[in-house]
Amino acid sequence: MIILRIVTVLVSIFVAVPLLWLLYAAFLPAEALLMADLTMLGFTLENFRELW
Amino acid sequence: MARLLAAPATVVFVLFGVIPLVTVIRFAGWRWSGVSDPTPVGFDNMQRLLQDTELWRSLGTTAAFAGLALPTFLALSLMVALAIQGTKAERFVKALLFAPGLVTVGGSAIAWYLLYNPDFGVVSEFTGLRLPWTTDPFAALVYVVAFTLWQQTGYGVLVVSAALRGIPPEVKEAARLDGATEGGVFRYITLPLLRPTLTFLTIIGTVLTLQSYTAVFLLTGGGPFGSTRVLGYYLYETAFERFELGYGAAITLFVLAVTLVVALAQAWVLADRGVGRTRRAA
Repeated sequence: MIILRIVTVLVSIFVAVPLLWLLYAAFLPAEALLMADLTMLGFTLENFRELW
Repeated sequence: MARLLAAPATVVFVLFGVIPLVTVIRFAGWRWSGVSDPTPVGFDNMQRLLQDTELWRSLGTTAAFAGLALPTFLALSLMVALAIQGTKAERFVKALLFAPGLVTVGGSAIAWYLLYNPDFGVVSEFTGLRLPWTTDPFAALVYVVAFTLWQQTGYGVLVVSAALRGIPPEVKEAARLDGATEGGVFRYITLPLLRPTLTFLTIIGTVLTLQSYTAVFLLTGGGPFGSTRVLGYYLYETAFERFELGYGAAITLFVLAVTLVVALAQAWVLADRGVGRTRRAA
């Protein structure tokens, strides 16, 4: 049972990481992508301005 | 009355099932780029299928893809469903694992590309780990398999979990009272009762694997060196990049035939013949 729980935790992390990144990437500054430097963490609503 | 009720479904089936299939069969006898006038070539496209080494190579790639993805999918679905059954985390874990199925494949591919790109991906930037999926053929296949599992495992967990709920607890309790260990209960009660569900997941998974193309198209484009060129992607390249629509239709029929044969073989192998065995034993 412990092995099954460890597998479940690992699978949950494996699934959650790209989802969380997808959520965060929506708020990522455009410069980070343009400069291909994803360590340039930040928070912007600039990407959502394009939606309106 | 029954015919009237069946009419809408019949119309939809004929429009989107029968007519496209008949059209594909007709196209398979043509040499046609989609722009030029079609030239009837009889069974030439079918003969070409047998001599097309790239097609057989892509069938091998598809088999490797299925060989990696399907057992892992089944094992993870079963293990996670068993682990969360009846726990407080059950609903949360199910919701989390099913969430990727609600995100568009294009959006998911962007997330995966930015996370795991060996040149500028987040994982590479923060850990220094350069995942070799852009250069190493096997790593590329594993990458596409991982993406597919990421998308589909939640569905498998939901299906197995629903089947587990359908197993009467009295059956397990009776076995425990008779001295069965937890391992014995799983092996001789839970697993046999899950057999129809696992058969269903295997066949559906195989059909989806044989038709898979989107993940390859978005993540690797069939590369590196054609190592992820599954049948669906080879069909796309033939029909819409090389504009050989007639030959593409022939490949479609080939994929259909392979899918039917594999699904029927699996259904036959995995069918529950417990009744027959019991009768023979008696």
